[in-house]
Amino acid sequence: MDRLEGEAISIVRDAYRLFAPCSVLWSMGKDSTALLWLMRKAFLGVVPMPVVLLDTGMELPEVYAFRDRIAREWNLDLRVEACPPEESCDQSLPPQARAAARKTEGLRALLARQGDRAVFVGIRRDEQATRAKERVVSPRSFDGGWNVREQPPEFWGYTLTEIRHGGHVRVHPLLAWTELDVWRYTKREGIPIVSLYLARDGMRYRSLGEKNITLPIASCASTIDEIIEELATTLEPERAGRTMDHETEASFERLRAGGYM
Amino acid sequence: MSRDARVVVLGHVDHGKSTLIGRLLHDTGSLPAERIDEIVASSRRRGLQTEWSFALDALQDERDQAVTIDTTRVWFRLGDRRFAIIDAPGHEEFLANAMTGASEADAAILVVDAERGVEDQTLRHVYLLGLLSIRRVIVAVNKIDAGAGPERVFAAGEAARAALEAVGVTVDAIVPVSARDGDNVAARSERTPWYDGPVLTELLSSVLPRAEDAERQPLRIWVQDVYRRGEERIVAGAVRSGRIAVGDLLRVSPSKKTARVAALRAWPHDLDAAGPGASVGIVFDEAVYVDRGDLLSHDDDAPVTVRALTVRACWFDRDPPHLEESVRLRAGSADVSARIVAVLDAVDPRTLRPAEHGVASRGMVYTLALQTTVPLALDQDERCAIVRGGIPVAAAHAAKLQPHGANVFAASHLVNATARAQRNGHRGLVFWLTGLPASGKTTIAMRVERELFRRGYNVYALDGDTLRSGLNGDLDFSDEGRRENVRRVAEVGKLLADAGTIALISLVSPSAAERARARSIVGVAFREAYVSASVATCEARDPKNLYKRARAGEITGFTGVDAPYDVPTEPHIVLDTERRDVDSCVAAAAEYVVDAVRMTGSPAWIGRSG
Repeated sequence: MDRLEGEAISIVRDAYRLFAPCSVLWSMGKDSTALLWLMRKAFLGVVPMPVVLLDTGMELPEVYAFRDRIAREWNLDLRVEACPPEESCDQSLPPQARAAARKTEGLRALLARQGDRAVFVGIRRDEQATRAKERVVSPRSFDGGWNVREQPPEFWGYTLTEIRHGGHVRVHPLLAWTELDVWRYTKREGIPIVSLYLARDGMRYRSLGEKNITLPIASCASTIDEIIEELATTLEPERAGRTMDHETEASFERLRAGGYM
Repeated sequence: MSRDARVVVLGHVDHGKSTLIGRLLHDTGSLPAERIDEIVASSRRRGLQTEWSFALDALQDERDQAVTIDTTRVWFRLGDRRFAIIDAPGHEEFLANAMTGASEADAAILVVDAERGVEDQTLRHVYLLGLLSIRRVIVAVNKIDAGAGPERVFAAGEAARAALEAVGVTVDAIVPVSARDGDNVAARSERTPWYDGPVLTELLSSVLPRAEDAERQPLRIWVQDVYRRGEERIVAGAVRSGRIAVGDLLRVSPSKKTARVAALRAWPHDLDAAGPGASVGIVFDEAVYVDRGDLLSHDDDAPVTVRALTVRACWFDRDPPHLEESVRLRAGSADVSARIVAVLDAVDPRTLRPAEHGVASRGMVYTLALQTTVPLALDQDERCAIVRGGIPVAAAHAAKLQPHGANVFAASHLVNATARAQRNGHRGLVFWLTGLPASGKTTIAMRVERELFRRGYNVYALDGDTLRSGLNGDLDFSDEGRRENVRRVAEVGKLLADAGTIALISLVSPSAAERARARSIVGVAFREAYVSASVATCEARDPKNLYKRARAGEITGFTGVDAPYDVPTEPHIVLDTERRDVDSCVAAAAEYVVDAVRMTGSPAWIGRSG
């Protein structure tokens, strides 16, 4: 746990130094909230960059309430970026993926306006097979696209240091973490979470997304300890409740190649 | 709670790495039912029987082409422990991706096809394991379902073991498996009654995270950034090794300034002390100038500061290192401009021998002499990266550090090897003729010199005996005298080659170790020619009556009579003067040399315009 925390803080500090101006994406989920926590550790209590919410207007009400409380308590420079409607997204994507692609468009608009060189994102390799291929510092082309076939090598902590051709980099400090690691860390540090993660009436959200494309799972885990216990035995994938992942064989890969997180 | 371990799976393309991992996930009950259904459906769509590699190959192209392109990672449980399995692509083109995956591993499974045995990428991956100091390796001899018997399996496994041992890696176990059918993966196979060792999952369960005794090593903190909080300047960095505490006297390298630690800032609470892995914010008791790239240590145990160093670099780029090229050298958080002042050696990890002419640079291991534009602080064996355009192109170890401020400075030329070669129309070379006394070395060298001179080459024959009367006149024939003789001749040859000349050196040089040393002095321009003739033949020739005198006891320590001659095991060329006449040996040598100094292509030691 200490090793993961140390590595993540190191990644955050390096990328901030090399690529500022930058932003961090916050979905109010457990991962990006843990990422904000790590940033406060890295920068001694503050998050020195805009905290961006790509807002589709479709988050659950508990999530919006959590956002307002944490933004106030942690003194965050919160920027809510309204995502364009579904009609403006790639119409060849399957419907659920199209709903998710709204965030890609929102991010693109934000980057164009703010001129950020780096965006911090709390994705992890164990969430999804194409995310498993990611780099800690991952280059994006000028239009936000991800070229999974031409990724730079990363070893011994040496990552990409330059941005070419008007693109930006995505920085993934939690890439090596697993779902279990995030929960253990959340527990250890006492990081606040949206209550929807905890079971009520036999159901809980294991992964939090927009209400139109995310489903809760059957679970009795009503505390973080019980979640950790549940994870020790389940075979269910974390994103089973994310309908967009399962529409067609390559829909998530296409989303990500287009610039999705 | 025992810690999670990371295991990388390596091997030649198509030897079944991804299939083995998919099988491992399936047989350990790590795949949910619906994922298995997806894999079966995905396989059927492509007209295949169940293809377990689909559990990993996530990209559309990877499934369609049935090849792993990029490294990936999956997790599974064995008992109460979690394992991250890293799949690394086996295809040569994706070596950098394999390195990306392997660099974080605690242990490795090397997959070898029982029928095809050790192949090119197996050997490249073996070399990576050595480079990464991964000491725990399991060899999985795969595809025993295809009918390979114990002899085949044994031969493939032992070949892998030999390759691993050659780079200093010992093998934990060799296990025969069928990734396709699951033999000896999680359950014992009935196909292999002749194998009574542990199955793969049993072997994996004993893999532990690499022990790091970083805490007992000297304190090293690479400075990442400096933050201002009001009046306070906070130096941000992660403890790489050792331990830091409030009150410690630290030294900043390369500036050599010292100051005491007044506070260790952290959030939500400050620290009194911190060990390896911890990210700290150091406040000094006095104003010292510190910035990213500086290396902090205790005052009494500081790193070396250099302007010149040698690195051993495993190269991932299609474009080889070029003499005089400017690159970035990264060591920790330091990122400095460096010039490649010499390509001292190029080793092919598949053969562990000097790279042949024109061999692709990707995967080669180069020994490079670098000069940095600013002083750089680092330790021996520091793990570095060579960077072009912001992208790491080579993983390197700092091999030889020349302290900054030592009294020896290599002057830098304003004319480089490329320019010289272009004017001459050929490169410089050291053609080293070794062989018994009277085997014909000097005769051949002098004839080749005349021939090449006639054809317009800059060529010079250096004869061992002639040098003994001048430059090496102070040396005797003791072991030490012979060693120094070889060293000086090699250095002179190197200078001649640098100056663009073809140096034909005839020297008995009986010791293989001394010849290897000569090769390392000269670098990539070295070629060894073995002038071969039996002792009897040489003795019959004996133009200087030396054999006769040695037999009579007038000379002692005479090579071939009472001192050994190490026959070269892999010379670049053999000139057999016993079976062939002088003319044909001279012709063969001349053709070899002409070919070796030709300007075509872009071999490593010629500049980019070459």
